[in-house]
Amino acid sequence: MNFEIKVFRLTFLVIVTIPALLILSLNEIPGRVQPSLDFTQKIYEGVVLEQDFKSVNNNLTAIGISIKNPNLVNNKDIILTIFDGDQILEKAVLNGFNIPDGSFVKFGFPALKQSKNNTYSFILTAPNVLSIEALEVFLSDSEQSISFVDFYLPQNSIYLIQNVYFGILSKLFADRFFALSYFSLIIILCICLIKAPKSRNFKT
Amino acid sequence: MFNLITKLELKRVLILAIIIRVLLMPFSFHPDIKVYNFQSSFLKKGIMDIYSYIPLNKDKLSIKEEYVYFPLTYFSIGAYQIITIPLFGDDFIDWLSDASQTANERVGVFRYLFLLKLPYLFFDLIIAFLLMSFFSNNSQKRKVFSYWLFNPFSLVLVYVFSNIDIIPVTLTVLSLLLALRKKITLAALLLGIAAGFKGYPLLFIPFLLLYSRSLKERILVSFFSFGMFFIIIAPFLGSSGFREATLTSGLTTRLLTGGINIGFGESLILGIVSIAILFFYRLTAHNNINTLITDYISLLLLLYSFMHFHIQWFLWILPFVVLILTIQNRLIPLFFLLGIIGFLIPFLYQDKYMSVGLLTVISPLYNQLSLPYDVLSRIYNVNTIQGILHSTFLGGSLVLINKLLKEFDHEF
Repeated sequence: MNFEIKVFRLTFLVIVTIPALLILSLNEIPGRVQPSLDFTQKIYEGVVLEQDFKSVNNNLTAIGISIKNPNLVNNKDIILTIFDGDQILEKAVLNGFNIPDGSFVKFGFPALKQSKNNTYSFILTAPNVLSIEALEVFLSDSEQSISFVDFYLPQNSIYLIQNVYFGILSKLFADRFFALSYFSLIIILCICLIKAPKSRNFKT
Repeated sequence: MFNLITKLELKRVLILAIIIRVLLMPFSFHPDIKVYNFQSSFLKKGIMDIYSYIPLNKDKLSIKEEYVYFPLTYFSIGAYQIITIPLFGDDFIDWLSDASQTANERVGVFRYLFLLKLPYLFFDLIIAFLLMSFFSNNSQKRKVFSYWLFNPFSLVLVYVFSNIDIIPVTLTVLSLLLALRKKITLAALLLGIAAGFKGYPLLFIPFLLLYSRSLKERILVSFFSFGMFFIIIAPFLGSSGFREATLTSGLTTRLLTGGINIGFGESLILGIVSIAILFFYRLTAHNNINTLITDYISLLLLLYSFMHFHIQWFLWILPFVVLILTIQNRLIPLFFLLGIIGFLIPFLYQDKYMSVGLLTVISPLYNQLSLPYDVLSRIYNVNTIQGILHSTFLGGSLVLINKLLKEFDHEF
């Protein structure tokens, strides 16, 4: 039985610790779920796409957007500029060469430290792009806006780990009937295991 | 018969194995489980030909993928849902048809995953007991039982990757057991039924034929296996959806790619070449039915070696490997190493559900983690790394096949 107990302990340890270890490697946390990708808007010389949003956390560090690059013809710059009112805060540039067709790309910039609850806007421009080589930015029907995700630097690893494990428990107990049945099953199995007489107690 | 000590031991081992599985079942998610359960849910509405239904109703369906399994998978999963639907609750169908990123944040998702994986637990335990039936010696029975229930590969393949192949795998194990007990026609029938779930057991039939003792038995083996498979698929052969989705799907197309061009449009297909070598080697050798297991293992190792495989396909070989390792302990390190290499290849695919994505059901934050592919690609060309791993896998497999074909002489 030693082999099985060792494997059990190891497996249990892996199940419990892997989520925590993996989450420690997270370097950006999303502020929202990306809205649906319903249609696209071409972006080229002279076209400006603008979007307002409220920052939900401190340390805003990237904006992620889904972009089409049909036949990968575009290899020119697309620029994202962040504003606080009329004041330019940051600029991030991506080259079409690095944008696969239909991919989700992040425009990263130095973190805006006190960003929580501030309302910002960002604009997307592509001043050197001709209309025949335009990139296409995905927009969302539901919010009539650019389908984007804002990203923040995680402030505390322990908080992140807590967040994951409390999240599991709260989601589990939100389905109370299942949670009770599930834990009852585990307890019953554990009792059976403890109650089952060990072979060494028997004489042959 | 087991003595009292062995029975008590087995009971404790079994309970411990069930606890591990229960702990894993709700907390990992591979999208396949949702796709084939969504598609199989149409059985409740009386849809019998899912292969035609999906292409005709693609516009209305939230998950538009073709149904790539053979009919028995559809009917089994559909029937399981019909029987257990009261346990799932009202929102289950909404979750199944929700293809959005937030679907797994719904309340009840742990319940759904637990219940959907419950049949896997049943078949998993059946395999453990079937494997014991291969041996008469109590210590080997005990060993094979533990090796099956406590090896990390089957835990991951069945419960993390939600591998529905566990059903045909169970049938192939039972088929092998019957073949070893000289009930070859019954074994063939089971292979035919297993192929009704997923096509790969058809590859075992030529090898089973080699062990038939007479022409009559050969005809019966062919009739029962291919005949049963034909009976299962016959009602769907008229559907172009069925032909496209199954006969030209994963295994078939991948098996037939990767060749050496010999000119004039012809090529030598490496997978077929290797399987043919194995078959003709066995055809000309003096065989004993006990070596059938080594044929199955060799065949599958060759398949994995010459194909861009899916990680779930490793489950096909696992029970046979566990049987061999119970007899030949010294092969454990070699098989273990090959298993790790084999797992690493798909782990490096550019698919989040081969790694970090499996945890997205416990938190959407796991969606933000970099894939092993992305991390490694900053250092080196990942395709080259995969090529190195696959080549190493082939080398190790050839050594193993050579050892098994030459040295295996166990009488079951």
